[in-house]
Amino acid sequence: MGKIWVLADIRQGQIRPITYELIAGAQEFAENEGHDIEVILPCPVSEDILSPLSHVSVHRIIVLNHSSLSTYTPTRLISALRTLITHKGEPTYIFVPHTHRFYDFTPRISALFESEPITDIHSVHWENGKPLFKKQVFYGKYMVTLGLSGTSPYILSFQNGVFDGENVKQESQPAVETFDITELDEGKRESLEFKEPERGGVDLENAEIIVAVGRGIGKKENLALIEELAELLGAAIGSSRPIVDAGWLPYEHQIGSSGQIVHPKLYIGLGISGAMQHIVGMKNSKCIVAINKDSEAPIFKLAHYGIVEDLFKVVPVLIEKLKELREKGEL
Amino acid sequence: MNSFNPILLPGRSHMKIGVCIRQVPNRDYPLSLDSEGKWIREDDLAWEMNEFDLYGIEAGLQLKEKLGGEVFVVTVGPSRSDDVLRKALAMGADRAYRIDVADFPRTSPYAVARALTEVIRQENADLVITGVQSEDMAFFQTGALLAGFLGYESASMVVGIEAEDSENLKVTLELEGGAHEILKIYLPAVLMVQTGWNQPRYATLKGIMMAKRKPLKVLTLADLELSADAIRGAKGTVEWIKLEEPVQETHVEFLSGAPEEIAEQLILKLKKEAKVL
Repeated sequence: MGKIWVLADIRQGQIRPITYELIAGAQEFAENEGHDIEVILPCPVSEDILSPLSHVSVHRIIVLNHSSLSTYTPTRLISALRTLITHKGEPTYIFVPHTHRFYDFTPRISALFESEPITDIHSVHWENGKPLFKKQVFYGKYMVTLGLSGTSPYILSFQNGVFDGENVKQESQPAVETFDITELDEGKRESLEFKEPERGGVDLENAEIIVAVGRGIGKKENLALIEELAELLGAAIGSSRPIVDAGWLPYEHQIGSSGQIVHPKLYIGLGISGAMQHIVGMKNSKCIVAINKDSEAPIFKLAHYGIVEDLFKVVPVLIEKLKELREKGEL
Repeated sequence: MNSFNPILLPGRSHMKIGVCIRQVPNRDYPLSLDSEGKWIREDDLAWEMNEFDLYGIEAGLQLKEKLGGEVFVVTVGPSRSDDVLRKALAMGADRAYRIDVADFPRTSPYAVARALTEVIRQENADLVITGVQSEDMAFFQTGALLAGFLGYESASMVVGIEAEDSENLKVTLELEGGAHEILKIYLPAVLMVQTGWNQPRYATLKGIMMAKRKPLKVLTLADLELSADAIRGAKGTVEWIKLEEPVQETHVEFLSGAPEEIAEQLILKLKKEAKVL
């Protein structure tokens, strides 16, 4: 029996939902393997932001306290955790949110421990009392199952939604410990400025219908067709990353981890394959329609209506039909 | 912790940049599993450069043009991955290394990064650039593992690099939801780059001709004084168990027929069944 460290994801003074998901996951591991759970807050925080954690079933909440930790850098966080380990010993597991912030943290602490991490985990299941992990590979067309061997610490980073954060067990009052870091390696990185996202009037988060385009659109000129469809449906236009990378649409249209998180009643994906970075932004849509000529495209795995066909054959006909409906006053 | 003594001394005008690249299967080719269900059949695939790495090479070449210096590229892979090294050389990189994959476990980013570390150390690079992820595996590990092994400072999700001087760079990071952080990073450092923020150049005919004469060195683990054991985690190791198709998460109804029929069915379903139109 050892302990599990859950690294909290804190942004703009708030504990992000993925933190509760990871606590729920740690509770699952503790039930199977019998560990203590410690939630590590990677920066000094005001007491009120801890209140949502006041009854969660974990053993301890540890707040790493040093003014320089208020701005994340991987070097500083690793330095602070080294001090913590010196005083409290190594954990068996470290659970890390697989978010942009921690992309350069998880592997770096793994290098420090000389322990191979499993990153970008999509799901966990148990076989013969041992955890196995699945993640997407080959453009989401396959899932790989990965297992752990050797000795701890095991370092794991999880995607959003792996565990149910709504059902964290809340049966105790964890101790809260402020752990003062006296000597911190400040590293060689200085934050200069934070910039809030520019929305430019594109409000995908409140859109009821979204028509989203991906690589399958082929070229910028083809967007006219999509605009016509969107106009008929009263839909907002979203996109996957390659479209904004190509400069065909401004960044404000991007759906996914780097863009907006949407939940329309109708999402129509055109020529979108469904990379994880896009999926996390749209999987809570009520009705998902996918049109893609590649029958292996992972987006079909979460679609309600699937059309395996060239979008340029289907969309023009769809537009004609919708126009007819509109003329009849049925749309 | 590692103490940071910049390798690039003040006044030194020559920057050494290492870009780590990877060859991946073309995403448009149909994939199928091998007989053991552990890997894909490689016979009929087309291969190309990991898209993220194109942006990394372009960033390295732009820094070289501005600050002077040299760019080397390095990959871990079988002989077919010489193609992506030649492409990088044709774009303008000066030298290339391929660490032969023969003694490697199947797909261990940890092992890959351990081996790359030795090349970067021998080259004494001031700046290492990697893609933030590979398109096919998407572990998001290699660059940050390198930073850990080398004791370099690091930044991930890079979408902008400006050369301030030869000691530090001004770097823009993409955070979730489209927010950005601008920071200053001192060398030596590892930067992991996103796509879409620069214009990866095409190789010119002259570049392709010149690439044929540029050095491409193939290394084994023994050449790097490493072994199959030494590149694995001393503590935890990760086992690659099997591949399978993802599960169907929803009840999906496939609509087929002529485009006319598909469009009619879809409108009917959306109006009457899903009630979203």
